[in-house]
Amino acid sequence: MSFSNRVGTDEAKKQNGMSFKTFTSFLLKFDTIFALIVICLILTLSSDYFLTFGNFSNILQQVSVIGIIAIGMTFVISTAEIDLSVGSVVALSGAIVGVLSSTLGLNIFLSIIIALITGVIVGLLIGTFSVKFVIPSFIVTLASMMTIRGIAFLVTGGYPAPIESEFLQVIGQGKTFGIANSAIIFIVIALLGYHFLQRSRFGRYVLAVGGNKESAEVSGIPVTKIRLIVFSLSGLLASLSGILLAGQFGAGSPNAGDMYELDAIAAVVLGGANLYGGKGRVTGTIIGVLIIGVIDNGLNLLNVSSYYQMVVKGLVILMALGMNRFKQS
Amino acid sequence: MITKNALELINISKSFNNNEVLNNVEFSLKEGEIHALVGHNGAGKSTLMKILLGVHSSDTGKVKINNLEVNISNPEHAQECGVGAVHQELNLFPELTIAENMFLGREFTSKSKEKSSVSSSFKDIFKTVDKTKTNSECKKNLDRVGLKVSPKELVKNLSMGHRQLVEIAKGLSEKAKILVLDEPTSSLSVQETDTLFEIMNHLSTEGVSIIFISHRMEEIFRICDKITVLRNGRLIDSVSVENTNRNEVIEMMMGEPPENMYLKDKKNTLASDTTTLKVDNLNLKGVYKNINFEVKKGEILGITGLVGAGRTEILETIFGLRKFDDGTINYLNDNFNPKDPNKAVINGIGFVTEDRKDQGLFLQMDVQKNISITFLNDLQTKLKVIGGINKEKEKKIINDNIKKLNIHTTNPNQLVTELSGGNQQKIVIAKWLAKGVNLLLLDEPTRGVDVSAKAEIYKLIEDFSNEGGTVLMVSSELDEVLGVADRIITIKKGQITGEFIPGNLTENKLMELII
Repeated sequence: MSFSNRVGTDEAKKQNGMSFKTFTSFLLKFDTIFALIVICLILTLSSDYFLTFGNFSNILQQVSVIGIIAIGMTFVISTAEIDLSVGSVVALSGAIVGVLSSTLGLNIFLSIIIALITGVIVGLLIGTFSVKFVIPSFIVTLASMMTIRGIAFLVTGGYPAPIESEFLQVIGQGKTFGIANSAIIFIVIALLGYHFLQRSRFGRYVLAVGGNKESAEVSGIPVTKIRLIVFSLSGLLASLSGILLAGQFGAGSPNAGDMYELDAIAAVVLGGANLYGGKGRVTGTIIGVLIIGVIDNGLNLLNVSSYYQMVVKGLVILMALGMNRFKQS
Repeated sequence: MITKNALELINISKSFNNNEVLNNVEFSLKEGEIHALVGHNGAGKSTLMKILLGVHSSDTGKVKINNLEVNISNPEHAQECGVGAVHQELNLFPELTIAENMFLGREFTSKSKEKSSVSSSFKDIFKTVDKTKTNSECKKNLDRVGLKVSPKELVKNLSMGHRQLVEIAKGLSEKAKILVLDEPTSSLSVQETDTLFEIMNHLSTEGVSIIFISHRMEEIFRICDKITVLRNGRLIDSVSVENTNRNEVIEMMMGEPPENMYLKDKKNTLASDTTTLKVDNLNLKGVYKNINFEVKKGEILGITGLVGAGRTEILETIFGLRKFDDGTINYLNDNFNPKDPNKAVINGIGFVTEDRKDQGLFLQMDVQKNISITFLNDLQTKLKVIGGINKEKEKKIINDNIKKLNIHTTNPNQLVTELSGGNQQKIVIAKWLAKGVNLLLLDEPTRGVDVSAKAEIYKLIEDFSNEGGTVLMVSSELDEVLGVADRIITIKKGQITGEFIPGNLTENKLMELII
């Protein structure tokens, strides 16, 4: 009797152990998605409004600006570089659109194109500096972060440049089938980013350059070109984000986009990218962006004071990253 | 010779995840003995040494040092037991001085000035380091290995050979009586190797015992007293060098006779009249001078010389990795001036560098992505630039190549870091063969590769040339050049000193031309 009993408990223990093991391995495999789901569950239970279509559309609109920057940042980090200038580029491009279209009365589309081209040129300059003079991109973009922010202030004279363009307001604030237009733009950019990083030759080259520049060069990959393209892409997307943000605010502010680079980097790293390069996924970044967006949104819904918000957001990012590392080891 | 046992490893067995790596291995080392440990990659040499060095613990078996049983639990403990190691990939900090490197973690602090003991306790961590003492102690140990460099020299300014000696001196400073040298000569020039061997002989007369791990038979027979062969985790034999010969040792390592290592079944070495590559009066100041040679389609041209003679630099120039001052390169009857490797690759040139980890592989990627990186163009779906990669086609080509090159991998998505050196090298070669190149530049194609993988790589090179591919092969292993190349040019201090057909040439004659 007692014997068989013991066997029974042993068996049960074993089964428990097994299911616990499969459960943890499931957790580890989908760590960030899981983190996102848990946060969503908690918020659904704590706020009636959280799980509504309106709120989700809202979240998507809120994350679209950071999201687009983060897509560009995913490419940058995958090549083992960093771009700290994106927040300032957001401000500069909004400022350019504002000043050109309102103050100087230029056609809005032309203003937007000029702002986008400026973003590309900024990225290209940063890339050239970093690649040709062999200066770490951390330093180059730290310096350009200040310079570009300063130029944004100079362009606007220190005040937000109001934007009267109806087109930009529709892009920034309007909705199509209940989904914010800026969110739709983010989704399109994310799909393109996914294709180019995870399915195309360009993406393989980006990851190869990030993993080992010398091997990449010896394999015949045009390393310099790839690096320049990636920095330009980051500048372009940051500039696009700046335009959307200006549309959302109805003005191009030189203060816009402050610290956005850090949110973007956090999202990319949450998505499983390696800061030392060679590893990065747009799909991961999207989840990272959503985690940050959902935390911001949820804490607002729960009326948490903005001081606590910062603390909680930081801790959640740390926890998610800890999980990520745990999985790798 | 005194016959006291410095070290005995008795009945050592070790498994990783039910995978048996060592099975009842015995190994004994006499005082002052230089003892070679040989075997394929995966034979268990490094695991055995890691057990001795306290990195792994054995499942069963005993370790005896000076006839006393010890249980080496961690690397510090191994150090205390008098076991020191010089790893293949050197563990020195380039930005620190020799002396700082040597006493890292056990610095002389101002308090311990009077005594000669070093202080490694954490509470002394804020004390001032006594530089004078550190440097003078370092000097003593450098003298023992015959290195005449200032202890204040930064390690980054030292040659590979000197770094090797610094590591040995470091081991000696830790009072090591047993030294493990893991492929110490793989990046040394001939002179540096000679110096190293002199030091090894000298240390052995001082009673230091040395375990010498190497793939190079000629060196083993030159320096060692005894040879222990492992195969598949088992001890095959332990023999004195006088009682054996090179072929016997290779046979013990491979489990079969070594005669078919170089398959000389080439159709006709100079069958083709088409010139693939012609180099005229190529000059690069301070590196090479007046380089002239020509390679025909289907030919394997061997280039041999000492490390630093300019061999690698010539290959790099042809591949567009290095500029040249003047001269002309003619490739496929056209003037060729590659500005970067990208251009060389587009023109059908491939380069297998001597350093596969830093200049060949993508360690974070799997086998498949490492191979297909050179021919992704051919794998794109219809829309050229924006199209995705055709995964089906990629998988098929990769599987064909894994089979063709006999790459031992569980599946194409295994990380390359999990593969042995020989298989990694085959991957670097595979990425060019799969792409289909005209001209293959090989720099030390079998460095750090075990004997059986070597034979396979030679076969690949010969198949490639038989199918009309042209090969330029740089190697310092003379038997390799003599066995594989159709024609050989020798280089000394950046200049060509001779050109030969291997049939009427011996290693000794070749040696004279490169030193």
